[in-house]
Amino acid sequence: MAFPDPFTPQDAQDLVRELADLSHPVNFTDHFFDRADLRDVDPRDVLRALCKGIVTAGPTWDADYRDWNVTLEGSSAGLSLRVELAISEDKKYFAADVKTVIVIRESTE
Amino acid sequence: MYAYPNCGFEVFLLSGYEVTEGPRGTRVKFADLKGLHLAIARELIAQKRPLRKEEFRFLRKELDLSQRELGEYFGVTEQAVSLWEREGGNEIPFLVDVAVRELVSERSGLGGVGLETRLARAREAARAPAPRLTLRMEYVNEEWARIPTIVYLRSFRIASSLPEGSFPSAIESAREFSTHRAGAQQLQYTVRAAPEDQELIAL
Repeated sequence: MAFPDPFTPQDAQDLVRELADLSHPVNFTDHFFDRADLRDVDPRDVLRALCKGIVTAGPTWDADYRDWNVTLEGSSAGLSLRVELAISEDKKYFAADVKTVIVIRESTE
Repeated sequence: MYAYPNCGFEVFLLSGYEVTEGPRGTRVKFADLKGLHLAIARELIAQKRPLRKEEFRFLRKELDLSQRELGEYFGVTEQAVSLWEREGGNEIPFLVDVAVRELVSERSGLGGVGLETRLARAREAARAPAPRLTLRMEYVNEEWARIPTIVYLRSFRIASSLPEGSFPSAIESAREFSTHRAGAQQLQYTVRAAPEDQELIAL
């Protein structure tokens, strides 16, 4: 399994939505939990936001970590969230690490 | 055992999660996160006592509604819903408690029982005390389920091991437990104790 070349924002968005829908390929980092605790957000909020999220930055290749960084914005339960992810691959699967989350504003949806 | 965070009440996962070391440090993933939240919601709905504020908030989020949107269901302001979620207890109107449970049941496919049945159940439970909830969840056969307690279950963290021979019959298991958030390893004892031992264990 390999990333498309070029890996476009639309590709990243489609892949993240697929991973979020499956749930288990999404990893939550310690840093995410620290931020989520402060912002009263839970992992379900993040998955929900990712499932309907729009890519707002990236994907950009991180040569140090050998993964793609991408930022998505989506909403959950009245909160607009900005989620920063790192998407990686191994021989068989793609996976996304949720690095951090920011509450942008009360959603108007 | 994993202490699932950010619910507002205690949820411990006995399986269905995996902690790994990634390039950016410790990370955790969950099997069927949506199913986990649905299973927690099912347990909250079944509680035979008024909803606590954090449980009410959990169910609102399960509905994917903002405070303003939920308020519109009941003809109240966003501030009123915010008050229920901050104060809880007697501040959550009886009918709102009942209706939110029914809404979550219907919309989440848990099977609505109908308002009349829900009201009858709630009337019986209206004056019951509302202790802080602790759930122990296990992922078995691709489904999340609560591990029932039989007599009395209390989990606590202790800095050092219990003295040799203390409450040996009460200690069900001792597990290496990591909060994964602080990164600190702690030893967690799961204790099942007879009612007469509760006070001793609590000490």
